[in-house]
Amino acid sequence: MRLICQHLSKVYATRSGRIAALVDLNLVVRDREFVCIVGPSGCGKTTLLKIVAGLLAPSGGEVVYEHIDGAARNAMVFQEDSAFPWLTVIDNVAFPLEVEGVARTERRRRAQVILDRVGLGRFALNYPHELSTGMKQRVGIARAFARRPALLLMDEPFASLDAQIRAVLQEELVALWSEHERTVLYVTHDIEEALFLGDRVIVMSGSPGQIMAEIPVSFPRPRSHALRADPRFVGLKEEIWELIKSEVLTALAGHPGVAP
Amino acid sequence: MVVREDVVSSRPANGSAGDRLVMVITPLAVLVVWEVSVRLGYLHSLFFPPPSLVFQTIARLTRSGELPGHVLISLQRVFLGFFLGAAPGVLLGMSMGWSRRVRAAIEPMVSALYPVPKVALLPMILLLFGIGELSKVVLVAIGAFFPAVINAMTGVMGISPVYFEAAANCGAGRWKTFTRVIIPGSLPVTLAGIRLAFGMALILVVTAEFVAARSGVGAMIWLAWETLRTEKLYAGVVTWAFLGLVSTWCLRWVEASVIRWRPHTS
Repeated sequence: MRLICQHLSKVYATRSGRIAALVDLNLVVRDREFVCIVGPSGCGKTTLLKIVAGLLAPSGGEVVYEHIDGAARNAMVFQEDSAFPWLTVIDNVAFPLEVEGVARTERRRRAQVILDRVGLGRFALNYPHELSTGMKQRVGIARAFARRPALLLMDEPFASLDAQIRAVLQEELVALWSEHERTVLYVTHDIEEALFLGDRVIVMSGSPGQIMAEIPVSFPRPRSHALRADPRFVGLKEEIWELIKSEVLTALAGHPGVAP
Repeated sequence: MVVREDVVSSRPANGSAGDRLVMVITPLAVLVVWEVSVRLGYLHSLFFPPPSLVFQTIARLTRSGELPGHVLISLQRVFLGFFLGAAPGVLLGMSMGWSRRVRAAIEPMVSALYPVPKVALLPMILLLFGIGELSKVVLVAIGAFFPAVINAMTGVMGISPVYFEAAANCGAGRWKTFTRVIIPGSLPVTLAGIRLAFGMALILVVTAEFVAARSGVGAMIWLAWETLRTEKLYAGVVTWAFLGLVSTWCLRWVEASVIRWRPHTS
């Protein structure tokens, strides 16, 4: 499948006036590509993802899905814990199948397969509050995979986790991705994470949200965390940081109470 | 930092044995002091009939069938009014919590009427519905409606937006969103509202029976007062208090068994 975003714009009306979150954004995500979007907070990354997910209507432009090869167009993994607290782990993962109308035993069987794959097989009948934060986030990922989406949308899914768990889940995610051959659009503010995961890194600038640069990341897969010490990796990281730094400083300067 | 893979047992112990002992001993001690004070002449038995006499009266009125008759009639009014008030209250409250438009249309009226003491509506209700069964049921229904509507609305509004987005992203339509997000997500607050609504029903039925009934526990208490049969008056009050206690226990048990997914149950 191929995702095409054409001339996307989004304007929010707030009390202090209209704020342009996205301005004329054009993006093509190729089949089975893992694209990461980095940018300072408030640059419209999440807005873009929600528009692509269909959760938010754009003010202008359009999103086109070509050659959809999954059961669903897209599935989103949210930044905050989005597992329904009132459903058991297995019913959470089976929820998209329930909506599709799959019979209970069949959807539980399929959900169990995915849970085993993400290492939550033993916790199928637990409620989310009985799990650690990292495990809850895995429930969200498993639920997204249960939809068999053509495009997987991820909004900083590991931002609230500590560095060690994040490293483990990043590797798990890449393994899942290469197994299922999905197309992924992954939003993060962590440059290292973007370089470690992505085939391509899109750098966004804030206010208004626009694409500042596209950086191909050609490190061979499977990638190990040792890659982070690679001089080319460090070089790219510096390059992206230089791009974003001015943005961050501008954002700080524009922020009331902070000296430029 | 360690990856925590164990399942956290988060259900708190349901009070220690000591706590439960205290719960029983304190009221018993009050009764003993009361009984002794009357027997020693510190309290006048016309105003404070001793617990032994009150319980004898309850037993006598139960055997004669008088008390069970009154209780049954009152409870019938309670349940009828409760369902007629709380059920539409919950449905309306949930739609108010879900839709900003419905909320805008209804909330000002609810907020304006909520603080009006429901007893103050009794004369109007008697005027509209007559002195029969219906007026009592209507007053109870109005009383039960408000806690139900307010809590159901608050419960739905308290559901984190991410669950709505997650459900929408999973392809859920309005019906699935209602049954899988709105109802379970608001249930803890809604059920607390239902408990308050039932308590309100218990209060209002007695109030209505004071004024406009010849049967029911309220009517029995009022007649006992008019004839200065204080032990019968107390028997009615104690019986009703006991029913209130039992209903609270039952509703708490329902809450705890319906909402098993919460870390703590109140």
